[in-house]
Amino acid sequence: MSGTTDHVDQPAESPWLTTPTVLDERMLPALTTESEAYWTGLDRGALVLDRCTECARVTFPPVGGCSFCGAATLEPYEAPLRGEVYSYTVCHLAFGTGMETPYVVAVVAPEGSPEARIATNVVECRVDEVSIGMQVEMFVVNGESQSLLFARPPANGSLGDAATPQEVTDGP
Amino acid sequence: MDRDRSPWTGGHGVYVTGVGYSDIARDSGRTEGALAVEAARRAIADAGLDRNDIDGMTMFPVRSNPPVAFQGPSLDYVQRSLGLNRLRLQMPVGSGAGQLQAVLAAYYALAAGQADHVVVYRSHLRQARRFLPFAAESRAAFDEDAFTAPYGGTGGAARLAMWAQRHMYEYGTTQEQMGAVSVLCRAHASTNPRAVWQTPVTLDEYMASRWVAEPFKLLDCDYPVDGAVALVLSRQGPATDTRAPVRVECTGHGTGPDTSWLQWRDYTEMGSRYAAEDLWSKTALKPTDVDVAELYDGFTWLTICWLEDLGFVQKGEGGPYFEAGNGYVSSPGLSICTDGGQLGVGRLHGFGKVAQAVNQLRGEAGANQHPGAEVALASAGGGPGGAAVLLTTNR
Repeated sequence: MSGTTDHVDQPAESPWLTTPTVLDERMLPALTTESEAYWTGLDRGALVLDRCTECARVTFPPVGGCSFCGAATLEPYEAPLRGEVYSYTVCHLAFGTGMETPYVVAVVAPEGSPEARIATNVVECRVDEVSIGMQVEMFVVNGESQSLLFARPPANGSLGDAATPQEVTDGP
Repeated sequence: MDRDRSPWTGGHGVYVTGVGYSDIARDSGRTEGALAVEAARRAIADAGLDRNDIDGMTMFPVRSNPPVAFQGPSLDYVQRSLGLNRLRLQMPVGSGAGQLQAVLAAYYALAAGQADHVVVYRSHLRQARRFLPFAAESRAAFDEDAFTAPYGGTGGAARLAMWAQRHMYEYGTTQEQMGAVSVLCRAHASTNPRAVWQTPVTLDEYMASRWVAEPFKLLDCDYPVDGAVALVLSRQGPATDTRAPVRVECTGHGTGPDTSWLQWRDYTEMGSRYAAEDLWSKTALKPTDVDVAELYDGFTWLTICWLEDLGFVQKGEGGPYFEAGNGYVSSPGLSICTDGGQLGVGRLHGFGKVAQAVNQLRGEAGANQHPGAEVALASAGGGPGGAAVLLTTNR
C-alpha cells in the first residue's frame, strides 16, 4: 500500500523549534582534559576542534589523538560556525533527558571539516523545514553553568558557495 | 578487508549444546539475577549437563559498580547461585561489537582449549530507565554521551533514527518498507507461544502508531520485556545423540574503523558490514547457503541494514525485499526473524537470535520451523558495533 507518514500527534502546522534560554535542566557534559578546550571554546562563542597536525583531519568527540591516522599531535582549530545537516531525527520522546518535545537532534558536518560530526539541536524553524543537506549556521547559548551549541537556518537563507562541504576521500 | 590479516585457523569443533529461556514477561516482578539463573539452569539441563561439567562463563555486558539498569546481574551472582565451582573462564564482555561479543568470547575460549562447556547469558529487565545512559540520579553525561545527551540525542532510538533517516535519504527506503519488517515479525510472533505479542499487526496499524524518534514509530521499536537467554557452548557435540548437533561454523566481529556513533563515516551501513566481512572470510559458505537468518531487530531498520550488509541483497535493496513479502517461513527462500524477533517476542537483546537459530537447526521451531534448515545465521548490534554467528547442523 502507499500510505503517508502522517504526524498523528502533531498539530496541522508543524511545530516551531524555539531556542532554549535555560540549559541547566538538561543532561550536561562531564568535562575531561581532552574535551575542555571544546566546551570552554563554546563559552566564548567559538567552535574549537582538535585538528591533526599530520593529516589535518578533525577527530570529534575529542579523544586526545587522531582517530583517522593515529597521530598523537593535535592543534586547536577554530571551525567556521557553518555546516550541513548530515542526518537528523525529530524526537517525540525525551528519553529521560527532560527535553520538551518535539525537538530535533541533528548531526552537522562543519564547513571545512565535514569528517567532524557535531550533534546539536536545530532551532528557529519549523520541524518540517529540517532536512538532510540543509545548510545551517551554528551559535552558542550560554547557560548558567554550561554553554551549548545550536543550529538554525542562516539569517539570509543561504550560507553562500563557501558552505559546500568538502568530501574527505581517505577517511575510515 | 582492506589490509592483510592472518588467516583464520580457529577450531571447527565448537557446538551450541544448550539453550535456555527464562520466562518472558512485560512485568515479571523478578530480578534480572533470578531470570539469568533460571535461563542458565534450563540451558545446562538442555545440554544434558550438570553444574560440574561447566567450566566457563561469559556474559554481556561488563557490569560497573554501582551498576546501571542496563547491565543485568553480575557474573559472580549467577556463578554462585548455580554453584559453578570449577570455572577456568569467567569473563564479562562488553562494548565494541555488541551483545554477541560474549558469545564470540566463549567461542574463542573453547577454540583455544581454555574450557569445555561455557555458559553465556544476557539478562535484563524492562528497564524503564533504559534510555538513560547513566544512573537517573546523575545529570552528568560522560564519554560520547557528553556530546549528545545535552541535546536529547542519547539512547538507541534517537541515535539510530538518524542512521535510518540517512538510509532513507540515500536509497529511498520508505516508512512502509520499515513497516514490513514490523508486520513480518509480529506475524511470526503470533505463532510462537513464547512471544509476548501473540497478535499480528497490519501495515495500517503500523502506520498509525505514534512517533518515537522519526522515522521510528512505536512499532519500529522492539518490545521491552523482562527476560534472559542462556546458551551452553561446548567443545564437543551434545551429550545425547537424539538431536542434531549444532556446530559453530564461524563468527563475525564487527567494530569497523571507528567506534564513534557521531563520527562514523556512513550512516547507511553499520558495524554489521565489518562483522559480515569477518564472518564470510572464514567460511566456504555463502549467503545463498543460509536457510534462516535471525537478524537483529532492535529497530526495524536494523534488520534492513543487516540484510544488506551481510550480502543477502545489494545495498539499498533491503527495504524493497521486505516490502515484497520476503522473509516469511511460509514463503520460499530465506526465513528471517522466525521467532518473531525482538519486535514480537520481546527484547532478549541478541541472545534470542542465537537461541532461535539453534531451535531451527534442531527442528524444534514448532509452527515457525523452516523445513530442513541446515544453515542458520544470528546477528546482533546496531550502530558502530555488531557481531554475527553462523551455525550449521554439521551434516
